[in-house]
Amino acid sequence: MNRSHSMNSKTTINCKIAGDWTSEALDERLSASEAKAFREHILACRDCHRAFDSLKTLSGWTRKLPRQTLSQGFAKTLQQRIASGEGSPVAALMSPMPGIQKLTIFMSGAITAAAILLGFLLLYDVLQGDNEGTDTNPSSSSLGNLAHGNPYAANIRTAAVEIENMKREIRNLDDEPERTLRQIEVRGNNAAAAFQDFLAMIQRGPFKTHDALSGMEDLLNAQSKLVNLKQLFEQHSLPNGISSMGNNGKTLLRDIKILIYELPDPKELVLRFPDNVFWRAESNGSSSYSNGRLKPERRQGSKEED
Amino acid sequence: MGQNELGMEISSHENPILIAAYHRAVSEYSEQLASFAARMLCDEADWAEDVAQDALLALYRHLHQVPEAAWRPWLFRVTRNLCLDRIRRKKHKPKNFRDLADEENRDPVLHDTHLAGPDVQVQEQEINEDLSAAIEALPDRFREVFLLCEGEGMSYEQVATILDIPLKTVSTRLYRARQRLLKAMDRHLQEMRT
Repeated sequence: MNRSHSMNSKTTINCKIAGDWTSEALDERLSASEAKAFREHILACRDCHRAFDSLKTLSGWTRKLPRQTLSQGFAKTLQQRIASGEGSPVAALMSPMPGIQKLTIFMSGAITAAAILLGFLLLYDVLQGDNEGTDTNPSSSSLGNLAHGNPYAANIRTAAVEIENMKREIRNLDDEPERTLRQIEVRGNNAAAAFQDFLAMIQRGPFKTHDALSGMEDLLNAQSKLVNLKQLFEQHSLPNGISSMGNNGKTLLRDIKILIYELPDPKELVLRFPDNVFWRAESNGSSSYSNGRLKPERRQGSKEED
Repeated sequence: MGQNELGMEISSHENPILIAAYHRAVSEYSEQLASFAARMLCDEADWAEDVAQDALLALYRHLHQVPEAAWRPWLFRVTRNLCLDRIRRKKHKPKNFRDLADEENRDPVLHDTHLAGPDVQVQEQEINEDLSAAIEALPDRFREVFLLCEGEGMSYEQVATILDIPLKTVSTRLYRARQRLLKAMDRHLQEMRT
């Protein structure tokens, strides 16, 4: 549990650390070096080996617990409730999931705004031509120097960095599929969330749209690919399911590689949303972006009692 | 107006592909949601089906606002909220005679069907009962993380999204839940070893 211990390839761990790591070791959440050190320790330590086995047994017992069986009339009752026009329960919606709320904003409103912007894009391309940067081999450092100025651009930069890392990490996909897929999943979710935040912001905040129109196509294209990627992960229970898929797994990994290759070039994405295209709002109180800083958003459940 | 496979009315503005996807989601997730609700609700597990249905109904009402890829976490989030709401209400409601009678007469909600020998069955049943009781005894915040991770096989990232908590908190709560369960199941674990 306590992961603050620094590791190198030759480090050994004691029983205290092994005990802290048992849970994450079971879920394969340790880094390669940590997992190696953990394996070596439990091979040498009978007590820790036993503790790890106990956890595995507990996990097996939990998975074998009987599931709820639905009554035969479940679907019919649901159908009747829908047909009767019964409203959604208030309690269910009192505490909506922020992540999903963002997605909802994205799907319901921002996509419409983006579609309108795309309409202007055609005109923009005809009048202006594409004179943006074309470097196709960006590095993290080059991305790091761009778009630091305001929260609009910061979201684009966050997404671009995650995309860049995904493109880099797919090289390890064949050697360490589960671990790499896990990283790709996290990065994909982060990039999608950053895009959603960006789209939600341009919906509610002042945005000098006409200068960044050419980037919208890339952004929507990237977002659509990330959604496809997420669906692949969910459909095939990745990353854990990959090891048992045999040849189908190889095909799946190839599809994932293609999806990631097809994501827009991250540096170009950042260049298409340069800092100066975002209208710097005066402190007018109506926007969450004022004086170059985002007002902190209220987060539910942020108080940690552990 | 037409009707889909579930007999639901489809208005002209509704997308039949979306309705078909909803139908699949009902088939796929109903049991998962009901099982999760049953374990969350503990002694109010009779309400698990109703809660699962409420969540699916809420999804139907918000079909156009929730992206399809997010349906499963959304459903679990709503189910969890409904369970916590019911648990909170239960805590503040004094028991009446009807409640007490219901408790005495209630059939077990969870059913198991397997064909092992009688000794093994008895042992497994005992483990199931003790483990279920130990899970019920966990604080809500530990129980929900444990059920989503272990029971539903979700990743830490998915659980963090559903519960809106940091990844580290998922890891910590899961660790603590497991430690408590290990302690509660110690007798069975020792029997296994001997």
